[in-house]
Amino acid sequence: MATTTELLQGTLDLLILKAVSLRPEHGYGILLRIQQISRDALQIQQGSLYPALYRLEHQGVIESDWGESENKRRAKFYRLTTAGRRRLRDETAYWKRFSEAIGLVLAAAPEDV
Amino acid sequence: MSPLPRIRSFLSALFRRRQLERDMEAEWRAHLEAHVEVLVNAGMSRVDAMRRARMDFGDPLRWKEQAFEVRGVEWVNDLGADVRHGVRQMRRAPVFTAAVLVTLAAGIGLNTAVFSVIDAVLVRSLSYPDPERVLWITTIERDQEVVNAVDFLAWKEQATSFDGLVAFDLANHAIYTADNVVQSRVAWVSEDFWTVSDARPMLGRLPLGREDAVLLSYPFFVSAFRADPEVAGRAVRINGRQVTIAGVLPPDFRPQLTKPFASSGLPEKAIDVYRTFTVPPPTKAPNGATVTWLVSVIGKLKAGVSVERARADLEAIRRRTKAANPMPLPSTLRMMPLKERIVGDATRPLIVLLAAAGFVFLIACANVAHLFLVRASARRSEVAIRASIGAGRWRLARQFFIESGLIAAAGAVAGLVVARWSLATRPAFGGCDALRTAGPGRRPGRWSRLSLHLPEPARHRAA
Repeated sequence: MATTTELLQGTLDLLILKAVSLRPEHGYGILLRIQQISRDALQIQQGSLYPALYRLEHQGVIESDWGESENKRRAKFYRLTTAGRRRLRDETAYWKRFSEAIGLVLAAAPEDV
Repeated sequence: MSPLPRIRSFLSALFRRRQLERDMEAEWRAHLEAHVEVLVNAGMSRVDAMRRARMDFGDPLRWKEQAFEVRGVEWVNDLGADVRHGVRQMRRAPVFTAAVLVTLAAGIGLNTAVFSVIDAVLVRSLSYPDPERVLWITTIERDQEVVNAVDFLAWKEQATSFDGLVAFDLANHAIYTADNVVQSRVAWVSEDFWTVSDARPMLGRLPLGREDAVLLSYPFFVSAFRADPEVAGRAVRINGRQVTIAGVLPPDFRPQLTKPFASSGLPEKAIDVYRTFTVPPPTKAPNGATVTWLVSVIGKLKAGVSVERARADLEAIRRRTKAANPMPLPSTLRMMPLKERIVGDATRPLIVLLAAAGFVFLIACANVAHLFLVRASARRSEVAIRASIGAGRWRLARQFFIESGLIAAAGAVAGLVVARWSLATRPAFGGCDALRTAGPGRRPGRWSRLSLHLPEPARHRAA
């Protein structure tokens, strides 16, 4: 396993929403997708994936349907709902503001103060 | 965010738990298989890959619980467990349970029964259209609450404040049908009755004008005529006279007429037959006395006319009648809403009864509370054990709350049964009429339909 980054609290939901917004994915596909996009920097603990999925589904931001995976297996595919798209947009905007702010703080040099 | 998806997922978690669990298991199986495949493709042996996949996967049992927790159904399942536990507790202490149930049943039953009577007598209004405009009118004071036919006829002719004035009387008569003789309670009613009570026959028609005809009440139609639809238009004999049955009134036609006086010898009874009553003018007896009818009268005010104006109207007519035809009996005019007349003096005893029933209920509650206290102290060790193995305060409180709730619900049901039973035996229990005749303040009047009791002819001789 390469060096992985611990996930910040609350970011898992955002990552899942983003992953299923690209295209409907089943649970394992979501893990792979996040790993792939983050170039293996982010690895989701499998143990935290399903509780998060069920929570999001209960909140109505994702919905699921049974379908067939690429290797011809029955799998449950998750996709974004309208509410989910709105949520993803809001959280993305929030995250950007947040990381910019953190970046600013961390980039501060003694002479700036 | 719209609550709809949450509600849907809550309900499906509640009612389709098995289905959801099967779905989850299938989903995880697919996940594991995909993971194993990826590992095998990366060069791992299948056995190692499977072990590795399981290790990565974690403990799916926890997730199942979480999946239902997330959907908020865990408390429902806990509730079910508490209810089952509560029922077990009740069965384990049958004497305690029985004592509480009997106490509650008595308290609730008594209150429900008393309130049902109050509801029927005081709360529900008259079954006349515009009940607030229906008045009870009497003129003859001293023991009798009736109207002299002389006055009634004059009013009927001249009064302007009424939509209708009804003279009526109650009597028992034998009715001869083609093949039977039936005792029946007859209400003689003058023609305005049909409009004041808004009678609409379900069979046949209303009497035409002053035609001597009868209308049957629905229960009498069923019991005495076996609900024969051919009955309208047929003739029966009442009091030796042939009378046509004009029609049958619907089951919900139950206009209240004032009760017969105790001294009339007529018990309280539902009316079987309504017969047209043409109020006759006074006649002279051979000995020179004026013979006049005394009738009961109800009147329906015209819309917007006050009781005061109606009283002035009737008083004025009475003065003129008296001047032309002096009546020896001193009399005053009294008018009151018919409802007040019917329930009037039952109000106070009923309220007292309700208060008494309320106190009985309070005592019952105190008893039950006491029983629960005793039981709680007997169950201290159980509580201590449950607390020590990790039941929280809230959980314990909820358990007791549910137990007492169960007993209360059972007690309420038992109370309803008691109430029903005591209402079914109401005659003995005492409806408003028993209360009225027993109540203070009303002297039973001497009353008969035909006033022939004129002992001194001189007093009644018309001028």
